[in-house]
Amino acid sequence: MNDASSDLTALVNQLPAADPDGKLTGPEPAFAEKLCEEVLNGGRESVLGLVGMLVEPGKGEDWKARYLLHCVAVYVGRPDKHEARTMVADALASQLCGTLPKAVQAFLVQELQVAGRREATAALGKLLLDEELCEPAAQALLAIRDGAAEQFRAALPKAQGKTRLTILQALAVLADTSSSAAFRQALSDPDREVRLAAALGLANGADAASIDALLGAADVTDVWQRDQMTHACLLLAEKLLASGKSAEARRIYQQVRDTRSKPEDRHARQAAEIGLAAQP
Amino acid sequence: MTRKTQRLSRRTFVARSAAASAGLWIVPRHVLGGADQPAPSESFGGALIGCGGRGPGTFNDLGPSVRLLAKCDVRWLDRADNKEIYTDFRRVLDRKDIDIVAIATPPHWHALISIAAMQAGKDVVCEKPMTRFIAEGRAVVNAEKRYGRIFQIGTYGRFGASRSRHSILVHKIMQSGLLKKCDVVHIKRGGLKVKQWSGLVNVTPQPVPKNLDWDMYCGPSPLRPYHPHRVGGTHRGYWDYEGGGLADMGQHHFDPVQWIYAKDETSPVEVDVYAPPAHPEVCGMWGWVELKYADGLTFVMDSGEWGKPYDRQEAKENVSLSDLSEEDRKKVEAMPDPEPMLRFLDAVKTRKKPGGHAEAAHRCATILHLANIAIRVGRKIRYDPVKEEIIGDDEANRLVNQPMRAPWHL
Repeated sequence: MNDASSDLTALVNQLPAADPDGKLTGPEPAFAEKLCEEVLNGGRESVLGLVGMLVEPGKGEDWKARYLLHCVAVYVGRPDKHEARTMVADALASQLCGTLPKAVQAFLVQELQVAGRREATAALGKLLLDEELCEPAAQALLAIRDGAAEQFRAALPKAQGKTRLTILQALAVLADTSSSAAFRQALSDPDREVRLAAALGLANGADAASIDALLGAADVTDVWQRDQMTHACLLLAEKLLASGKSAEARRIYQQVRDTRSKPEDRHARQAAEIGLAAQP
Repeated sequence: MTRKTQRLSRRTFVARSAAASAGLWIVPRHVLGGADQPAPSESFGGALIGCGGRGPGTFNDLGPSVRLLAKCDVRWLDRADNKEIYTDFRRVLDRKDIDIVAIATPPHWHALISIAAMQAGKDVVCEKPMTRFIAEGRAVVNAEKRYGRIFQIGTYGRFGASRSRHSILVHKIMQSGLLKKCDVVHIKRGGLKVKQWSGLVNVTPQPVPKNLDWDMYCGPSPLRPYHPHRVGGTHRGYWDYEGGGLADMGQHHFDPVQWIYAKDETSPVEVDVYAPPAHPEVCGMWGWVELKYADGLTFVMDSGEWGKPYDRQEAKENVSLSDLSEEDRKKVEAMPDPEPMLRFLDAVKTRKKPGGHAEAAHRCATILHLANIAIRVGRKIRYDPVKEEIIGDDEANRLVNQPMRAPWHL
């Protein structure tokens, strides 16, 4: 072990032990700040040194290294730590798609969800087609937001199965209007969850051109899909109203009201009536 | 004649929807829809989603007129028949004979199931804490208004508070807006089960029990390696599912206090903290959190379990008519007392809001979430209670609306 590693190990070991029950006792905040500054003073090498201490869950005791790395990631979120944050995020992102175990990479992705910004999105985007890392990468990108949509859009054409659903839903959550065509196409996907994600995307994007497609997609017998798609229709109506398209919104409400005549659809009819009553 | 285009913000729309739904719902439930609707005096079909811990008690609190037709729990893969016993709540919500859903899952599922239930036309009683993060609460409020449903949080201290003459007076003074500066400092010392509901930091993953649908259990939260400490009451010790003892016990304590001080429709604007750095996954120890409202009202949570006790200010709860001018005192005295709070079933029958409705519960949960956000970032944060965003701290603001695992979303 070289001097830098031993210094880092000594630093990590300054964190208090867990209590006899295995629970965190935590350092005083001022002491923790001192530890974080010492890591940052060691620059990228220190951050990577901490990463080097991480192991897969159950393969060794690394909880202090994880904890300290997280302390650093949070610490550099302070307004006066922009340069340090960039350094930390770059260091973490540089270890993705490499030889580290996926469970360790997942942890680094989680820390980028805390400390990453636009500069980390490219590295995260490369994980979107990985079955194991797609979901944490998607969550980190959604948290970062800036630059995320283009990563999801780039990955979508190549994605299949669970990764495809994750990516499509992420675009829906981001209300990515550049994905409207993809959402419309996915509205007739054989996978119910994909259809529902597509509906969310069209609703969130306030896509007036999709009104008929969405209303049609809601007219199904599968109860869960019917309720979820109807919700998407109502959400679209609200979004259209907010963007000044009251006539289009009214059409949605009227259609839902007029087509939900069975007793079991009473709640949808009433939601449409509430929407119509609230219009100016 | 051309129609003028009118832009309507979503907030305004949702607010108008609330007014519209209140008007629509004056008509008794059994009249709407005609002969196929049961009379208000008849029983209701009920479902319990999340059957461990508080679950049975949550459902039994509804009383005998709510018949238990379906029970759902992700730990029942070995016994689910999809007739009375379920593991997938969506199948429960598909049922036409279910009118009321009681939710007693871990909190990371509370908002999603509440919203889905209301989207399916059910009324909801949901265990505390209402949500796992702030944006979930707003989504539940929006669903309650959009669908004209009844939602009640499963903590009832505000009912007692609303019957106390002193509390009613304080409430009216605060509600009047005539007290320009409030120097109340309300301190909750201890009783928040901080260590009891802390998670474990060094665990070895274990095989998933055969009867547990672990993917469904994790739901919108990250799919972690399984460990039994993440399930059952000890789930409280993990950010993925709850927020430690603060989140678990905080809504019980602060819900009536929030009502007394007439803060059901706003949130603190500044939160400061004394705590060790938080762990990324595990809820741990903390010292105190101080939350201030715009009018100066201060709430303090002092864990009594870590570090030095809170000593910035002394507790001070002395709002009285003597704080007002004579003219303003008369205005407060002329104010009617608040309407008695409705119990859940009375709200279901009358379609009026119950005590502990979604907005009030969301604002109380927001107090807890802001406290935990301050703990998790280890610094003072400022909050905009109208936009419901943290100001000037992107890292903290990421905890206001947290991404969910597909296919789950708000």
